[in-house]
Amino acid sequence: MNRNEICEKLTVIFQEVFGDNSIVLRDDMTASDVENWDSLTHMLMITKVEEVFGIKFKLKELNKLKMVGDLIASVESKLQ
Amino acid sequence: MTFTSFEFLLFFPAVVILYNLCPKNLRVWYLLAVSYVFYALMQPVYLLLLVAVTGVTYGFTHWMGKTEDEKKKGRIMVVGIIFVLLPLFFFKYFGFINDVFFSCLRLIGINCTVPAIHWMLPVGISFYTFMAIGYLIDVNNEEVDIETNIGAVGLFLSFFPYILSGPIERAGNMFPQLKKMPTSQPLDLSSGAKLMLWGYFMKLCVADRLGIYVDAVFNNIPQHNGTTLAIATLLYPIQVYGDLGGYSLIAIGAARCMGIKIVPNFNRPFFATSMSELWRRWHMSLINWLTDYIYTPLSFALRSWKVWGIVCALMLTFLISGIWHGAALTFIVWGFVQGVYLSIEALTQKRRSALESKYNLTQKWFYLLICCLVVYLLFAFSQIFGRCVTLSDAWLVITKICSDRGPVFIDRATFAYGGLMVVVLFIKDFLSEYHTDFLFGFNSKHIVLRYTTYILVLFLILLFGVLDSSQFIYFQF
Amino acid sequence: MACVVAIDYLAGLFCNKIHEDAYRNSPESFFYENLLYNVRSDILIIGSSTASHHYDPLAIEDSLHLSVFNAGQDGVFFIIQNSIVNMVLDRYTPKVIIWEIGETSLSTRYDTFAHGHNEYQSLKTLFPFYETDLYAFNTVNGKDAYQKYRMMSQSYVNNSLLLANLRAIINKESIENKGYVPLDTLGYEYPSICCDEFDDPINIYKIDALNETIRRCDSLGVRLVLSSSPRLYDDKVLSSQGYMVLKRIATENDIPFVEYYSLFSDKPEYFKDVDHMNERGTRHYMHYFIPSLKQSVN
Repeated sequence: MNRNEICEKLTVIFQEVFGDNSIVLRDDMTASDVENWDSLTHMLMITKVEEVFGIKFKLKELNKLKMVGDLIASVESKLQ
Repeated sequence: MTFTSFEFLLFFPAVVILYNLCPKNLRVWYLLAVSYVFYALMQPVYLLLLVAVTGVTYGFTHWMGKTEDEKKKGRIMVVGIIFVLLPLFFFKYFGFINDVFFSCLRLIGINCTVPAIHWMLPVGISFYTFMAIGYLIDVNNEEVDIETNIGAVGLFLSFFPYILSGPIERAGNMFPQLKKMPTSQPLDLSSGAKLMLWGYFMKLCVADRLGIYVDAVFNNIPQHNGTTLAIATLLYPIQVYGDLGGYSLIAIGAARCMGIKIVPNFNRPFFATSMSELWRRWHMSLINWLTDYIYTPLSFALRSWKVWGIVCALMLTFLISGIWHGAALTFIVWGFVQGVYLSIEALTQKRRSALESKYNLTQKWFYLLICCLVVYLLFAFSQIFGRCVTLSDAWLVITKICSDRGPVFIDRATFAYGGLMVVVLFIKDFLSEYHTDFLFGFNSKHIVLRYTTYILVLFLILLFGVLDSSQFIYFQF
Repeated sequence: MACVVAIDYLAGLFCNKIHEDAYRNSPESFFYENLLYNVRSDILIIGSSTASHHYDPLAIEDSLHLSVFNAGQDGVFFIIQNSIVNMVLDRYTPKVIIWEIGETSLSTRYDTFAHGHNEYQSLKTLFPFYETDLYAFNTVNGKDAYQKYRMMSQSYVNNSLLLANLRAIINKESIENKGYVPLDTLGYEYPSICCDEFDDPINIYKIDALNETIRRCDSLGVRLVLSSSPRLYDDKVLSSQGYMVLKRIATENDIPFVEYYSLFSDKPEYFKDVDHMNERGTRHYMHYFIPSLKQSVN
C-alpha cells in the first residue's frame, strides 16, 4: 500500500469518526484543527485505524504522534 | 504564609530581587532554599517528607536510566510510584479507608473500634506526589531526559509558587527552564505583576466575598430554605473559579517574575458550551495530568470496547479526580457525576453534531448562550457534592432545593459588592474571550490607560476586597 | 508608587466625606459611633450576641427607673468589648454597666480561628475611633505586627463601607428597643445538641485587662455587674476554668456576678438555638435578672 492509498483510507476514517465530510488531511494537521477531535474521539479514531489497516499500536508510539504526518508515517512503517 | 498574607507582600519582592542578584549557576539552589524556607514556615516536620520524596524520585529515575531492559524499567517505575504514593495514601486516605472499612464491618455486625489516627495533612502533598509520578512515567516513556541535578529535582517538586495549590507542572516543561534560570526581564516583571494583580482581585474581591455568603449558607444547611440554598449553589462555582483561578494566577505571575513560565490553569471556564469543553478550561493542569497519565493509557487498554471503553476510562479517571480532591464519599460522588456527564456527552456526540449542523446552531448566539447556561447549571449541581461535607448534607441540599421555597436570605454587602466584582470579572473575561487587545485591558497600548487600569484594580481590591476576617455574616435566624 | 499613595489619600478623603454625610443623616445606622457619641444612659449593657438578645432595656427601665441602653452586638468578643467599655468611660460615667460575660470570654478559645470565630473579627468597629481614642488605637494595633501598616492605607480603613454609607445617606434608620434585638419565637426548631468541649485554657492578658477595667470603673464610681445569661446545655460550664476564673475575679474585686446558666436548662422552648434565648425566654429571664440586678446595685 502506498502513501496515497493510506491517506485516502485515513481520510475516510477521519470523516467518519469526527463527523465531518469536509475533512482533508494535511501532514501538519493536529487535533486543534478539527472540531470534534478531542481526547474522547481520539482513541476511537486510533481503534478504527488499527481495524482498517490490521495493525496494532503501542502506547509509547501513540504518545509520539504529534500530527497527522507522524500518523501516516507510523502506519506506513507498520505495513512494511 | 499564604499568598494573601501581609508577610508574603514583603517576602516576595525580596525573593525576586535576590534571585536576580544571585549568580546564574546558583539560582536553582537559591530558589530551592527559598522554597524550603517557605514550606518550613508552614510545616517544618513535613519538609522532611518532601525531601524524602525528592530523594526517592531522583534515585528511581537514575536507576531507570541505568537499566536497558524495558520490562525491568517498567517494574522499577511501578515500585517508584508505589513509594511516592505511600505517604499520600497514608496521610490522606488511611483515615477514610479505615472508617469505610469499619463501617462495612459494622453493617455485617462486627463491632470493633480501632483508635482513629488523625494526622495533619502535609501541605501540597497531592500536588508534589502527582508531579513526581508524572516525572517517573515520563522517564519510563523516554519523553523526558533524566535530570542529574538533584537540586533541580528538588526545586521542581517544591517550587513555592505552585506547591500550595498548583498548577500541576510537568518535568518536560520545568527542567529545561530550570537549566536556563534567566534573569528577570522587564517584560517578565510586568507580565508577572499583572497576573498577580488580577489573581489577587479574583481571590480577594470575588472568591472571598462570595465565600462569606456561601459559607454562611452551607455551614447552616438545616436553617436555610431551598431558594437560599439554590442561590448559594449557583454562586459557588464562581467562588471556586475566583479562588483556585485567582490563586493559580498569583502562582503563575510569581513564577513569571523570575522568568519561569508555568502552565495556565483556567481559561475562562464559564464560556464553555459543553461539559467536555468546560473540562478543557477548568483546572487544566490537573485534567491534562489525568488525561496523559490515566485516561490515555486506560482508554488505550480498553479501546476494543469502543465507546464503552471510553466511558469506562472516563468514569475511572474522574473517580480518581474526585478522590484526589479529598478523602470523602462526597468527592467520589462528585467524580462520578462528572464522569456521567462526560460519558453521556461522548455517547450522544454524533447525534448532537448532526443536529447542530442541520440547523447551523453553532453560529447562533442564543444557542451558545443556552449551552453555556446548561453547562453552568450542571456544573453547579455537581459542585454541591464538592461543597458539602457529608452525603446526607448534600442530599438534604438537593431535596430542599426541589421542595422548600421561601424568601431568600439576603446579605446586602455580599450581593452588592460581590455582584459588582463578579460583573467586573465577567466583563474582563468576556472581552478576553471575544475581543483580544481591548483598549481597557491590561495590555492596552496607551500607557496612561494601562496604568489607570492597574490602579483601578488595586483600589478595587483595597476598597472592596475581603482583606481581613472581619466580614462575616452572623446568621440571624 | 507616589501616585498610588496620593490616590489612596484622596480616596480616603472621599470616603470620609461620604461617611460624614451618612452619619449626619442617620447616626443610628452606625451602632458604635452612635453609642459613643450620643448615648448617655444611666445603665449600659455590654456584650456579644447574648447581650444583644437577652436583655430588654424597657423592662429594666420600668423597674429601676433609670435609662438603659443595650450595646451588645453579634460577633463582638472580649477584647473589643473591653475597648468599648473603656472608650465609654472616656466620655461619661454611667451609673451601672452590665457586662454579659461568659465562660469563654477570658479563654484562648477565640484567639485563633480554630472555632469559627475570632476575637478580632469585629475589629472594623473600632476603625472610626482609631485616630481619636487611645484604647481603639492600641486594640487595633494589637491584632498582629502588621496592622499598623495596614492602617496607613486610607482605602484599607474604608474597605467595604461604601454600601453602608450609601444606605445611611438614602435612608434614615433608628435603633429599636434601645438596642435590644429580640429573637422571634415563631417557626421554632428544636436546637441540636451541642457537644463542644468548653474548657480552653485561660488567657492571662485578658484577666489583666478585665481587672484593669474593673479598677477603673471602681475609681470612677461606676457600678459594674458581671452577668451570665441562661444556656440550654449547661453541663460543662459550671466546672470549666472560665467560670471559676470569673467567680474569682468577681469575689476578689467585690463585684456582683449574676449568674443564671442553669436557670432554663430544662426549657428548650425558651431558646432559639443552644446559645441564644428567644423573646419568650428573655421575658422570663428578666423576671429573675431584674430583682438580682436591683439587689446588686443597692
